[in-house]
Order: sequence, then structure tokens, then C-alpha cells
Amino acid sequence: MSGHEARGGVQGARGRIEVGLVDLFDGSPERDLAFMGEFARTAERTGFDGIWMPEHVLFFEKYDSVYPYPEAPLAADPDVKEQHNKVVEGKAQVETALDQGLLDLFQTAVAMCGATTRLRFGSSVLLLPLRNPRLIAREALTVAALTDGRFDMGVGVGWSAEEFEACECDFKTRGKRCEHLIHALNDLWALSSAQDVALPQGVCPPRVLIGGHSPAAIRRAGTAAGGWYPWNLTPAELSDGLRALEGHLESAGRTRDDVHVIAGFRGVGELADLSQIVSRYADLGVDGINVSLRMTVDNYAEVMAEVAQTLGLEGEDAR
Amino acid sequence: MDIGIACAFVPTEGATLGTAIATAAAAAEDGGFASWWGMGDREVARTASHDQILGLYCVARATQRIRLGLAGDALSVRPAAVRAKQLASLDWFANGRLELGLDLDTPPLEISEPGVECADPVGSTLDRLGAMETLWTERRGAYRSNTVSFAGAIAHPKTVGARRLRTHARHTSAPLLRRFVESRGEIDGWAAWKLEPAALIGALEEIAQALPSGHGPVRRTWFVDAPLVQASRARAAEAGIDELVAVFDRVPHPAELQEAIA
Repeated sequence: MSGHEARGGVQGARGRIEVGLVDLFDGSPERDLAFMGEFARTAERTGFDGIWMPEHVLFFEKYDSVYPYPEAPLAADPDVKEQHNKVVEGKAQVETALDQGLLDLFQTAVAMCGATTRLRFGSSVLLLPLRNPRLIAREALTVAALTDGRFDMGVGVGWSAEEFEACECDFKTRGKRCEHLIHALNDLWALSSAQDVALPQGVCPPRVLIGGHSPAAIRRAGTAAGGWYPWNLTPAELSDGLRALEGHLESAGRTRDDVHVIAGFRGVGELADLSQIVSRYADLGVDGINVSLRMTVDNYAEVMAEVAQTLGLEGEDAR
Repeated sequence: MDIGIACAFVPTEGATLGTAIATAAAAAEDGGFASWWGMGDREVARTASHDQILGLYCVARATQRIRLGLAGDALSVRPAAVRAKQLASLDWFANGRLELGLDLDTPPLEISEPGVECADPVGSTLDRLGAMETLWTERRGAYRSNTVSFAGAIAHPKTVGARRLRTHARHTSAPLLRRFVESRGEIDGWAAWKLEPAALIGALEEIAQALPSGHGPVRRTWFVDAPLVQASRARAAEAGIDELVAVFDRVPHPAELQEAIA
């Protein structure tokens, strides 16, 4: 039994659930390198399994694109969703600071894993269509090597047409391109392990999880990827998605054990109520749960401690 | 004349990648090296080296002073905004020590996206460098070119001090160099990758001719295989090279670094 399995925490239909936090590291003076290290160590010490960070290459002053995740299930009553994002001219807007930014995901992954010993780091999610497959294949192997295999690569197709245009990528065909790139990465990494292409040797590639819950996303997860990572679903929606995933796995000659499923959500409501939504997700058979809590520089340690206590995470602080 | 290092990020046998780089980087700084360069994209493409940006991240975290550089970034195979963020983040972690070497030639197939032809690598490099500099320096970036366009873009982190990175044009044919210099107006540096001494002299003449009259001093960097550093010193000094860089085919052991700078 691995040390991971031996630890306590949230139990679900498939065993122990990994619990991760989604947060932002933006290179601002308030969230400097010292803060990042302390944030990561606090998460590890309080019993969380991972830290996940979103990706936006650019933000924009004004969006015509609609933010697709404005509604989040309530912690106390996860069958009900509430909308929290601002709506302009009938279009839900992404919530950002005036001068929002995000550090490069891969360098941040190495920094956060370098500050800890057990904590995983994941992308929530990386905009795969914006990448050249022959370059990101090497980058991802290097992240895996420098994090001792503690990096998970959540990938998605994004929602901002403004961002895709600025990144020289066709927005309308991004789903097809994402699928093409997943296959390209699988092929390159397979050739690399056979030493047929010039890529770093002896490194296990990161687990690739497909973000989103569209039928295409679930199909990609079931047929080509190492996991599925939906966001802000009610338990009923998650259950439907898992059933669809099983169907795709079966048709691809795979089983549920071949994929890692992480349900992510924005924490809405009282922290004390988080156990309700977490237990509902856990009972459906997910392998991990990620929560975005919008923590501040001043309150993150307290919030982590309270959530850890609410969920019964067994970090060093609880022992 | 400064002495620098460039290497493929392949760890020495028995060492983990991060430890090998951190150990070598600390030894390089203590040993008096001026810089650490990641190899160019075209060299990396044909080796088992790890990624240059992430390798340099490890160098940055293990050092305080030495300059960090990329010896030949092929902007023609990368979206500008994606590369701008990677470089700005590295500069942030390095506290403003990053410099950018540019490869203006046709990119090798190994790093070109299948089905995407790069008909004008200098043109796309110029377009993308301009776009990156806009994102690094403007609060709300607006840029329009044949390759990349955006408006109202918010890019953070920026390079430290919201500055343009010091750029080094890697030696290529005289017409390409001339076009690059003319379009940019000025360049900070020029770099020769493993040129034979005789070819180096000719290359220096070409870059001198490519510069417009009145152009300020251009830093000249010469990359040579590590075993050739000692033998190349006198020739480099004679030719007016500002920095001689020892190229290793893997992360060097501290003892090898001492040998290179002795």
C-alpha cells in the first residue's frame, strides 16, 4: 500500500478522494515567490493533495465572448445552482481583477512542487489548442521530471475568442484541434519511450485530463485521455457525465480504472457546508475533487485549516 | 571578455535533473561565469534535452547574479502571446536577468507544426517579437501585423520593469540579418553558434555591414564546444568578441566548469 492510500480524508465510492485547491498565482508583489512557497506548504501541511491553477495567456479589457461557467452548485444544496458572475448585455463575464495576470503554468508547477514534498500541481486547465504539439511534448516531460511526477495536465478548449485570436489560433475549430493535439502528444510520448524521436528519455508523461463537460469533451476523455475534469456540475449532471464516460470507455476498449476523474467546483456558501457537496460527488465515484475558494493573501491559511477540518483531511496539523 | 555556459538540459548520470542543474548553476556563479544560455531550438530539437525555459528556471532559482539567455529562440514556430508569457514568467523568477537570442532561419522540421509552412521566418519573427514587446510594455496592448493582432490585451506578468528584453540576433545569411536589423532599427547583440574561427571573421564582417551607420555597439557572443574554449580565447579577444560561451552536451559537472574557465 502506498503512503497515499494509507492516508485518511474523504472516502468515496472508489476509495480515498484526492482534494485539491484551485487558486491563482499572478506574479504580483502580494503573491510573490515567498508567498507561493508558503501557500503550497500550508496546503500540504493541512492535508490537501494538490493545487491547481487556471490558464489564460491574456485577459482583455472587454469581452464579446460569453464566460461558460457563471453558475456554481451551492455547497449546502448542490442540486441547486446560483449565478455569481456579472452579466453585460446578456453575456456572462469572467471575474477578474482590473490588471489580472497569471504566471506560466509549467514554471509555477515546478516552483510549487519544489516547495513541497507530496503536493501535486495541476493545470485547471491549460489551453491545449494554442500549443505547438512538438514543443509542448518536451515541455510537459520536463515538468514531469522537475516535479518528480507530481504534475497533472488538465487541458481544455477555452471560451475566449479574443484570446484565441491573439494567440493565432482559430477559435471555431479549437475542439477538433484539441483532440488532434491529444493524439499527437500520445504518439510523440510513445515514440519517445521507444527512443524513436528526440525527446527527454526515462520520464513518465503527465496524466492528461480533459476539462469541460460537453459531449465532445467527455468523448475525448473516454477515448484518448487519462482523465476527465468537469467543472461546476450538480450531482445529477455529474452522474450523467460519468455514465456517458463509461460508454466511451467501453467503446474504446478501456475501463473506468484507465481514467482519473476530478470534479471541480467553485465553493459557494459556507465553508462548513462544503462536506455536503463533496460527499455527493464522492458517492458518485470520482477520484478527486477540486474546489476554488477565492482565498486572499490574508485569509488563506485560516480558510485551508477550516476546510481541512470540515472535510476531515488528515494533514500534519490534524495529527 | 566574459565567459558563459550553454548546455543541453540532460542530467549527468545518477543525478536528478533539478539537482544537477542547481548544483552546476551555483558552481557557475561562484566560479565567475557571466551567463548561462539555453541552447537554440534547432539544437534542442535533435537531442534528448529537456525544455530550455524550464532548465533556465532551475538556473534562475539557484543563482542571483548571472545573466540568463536563450541561444536561438525560433519565434517562427510559436504563438507570440504564449511565448511572451513564458519569457516574462522566467524573467520574473530570475528577477530581470533574461536575454533573448533569436534564430531567424527556416525552422527545422522537428519543431515545425505538421502542415504549417513557415514561408517567411524573419517576417514572422519580427511580427511576433513586436507583439511580445507590446505585451511586455503596454498596460493595454494593441498590435496589428500579418502574423498576430490584438487589442485591449492585458498581459501579466510583464518582464521586470516592463522592459523589452535585450535581444541577440543569431548569425545567419547577410540578407536576412540586414532585413532584421533594418526592420528593428537597432539590435543589442549578435551571436555566432559554433562557427569555425575563419568563418567567424567573415560573419563579423557581415554583421558590421548589416548595421546602419551610427548604430551603437553590438554585443558579440561566440558559442564554441566546451573543450575548445581555452584554444578559442585568444582568437575571440583578437576578433573583438565580448563573450565566449562554452557549450556542453549535458549539464556540466562543477569540475568541468572549472576547467572551462581556468
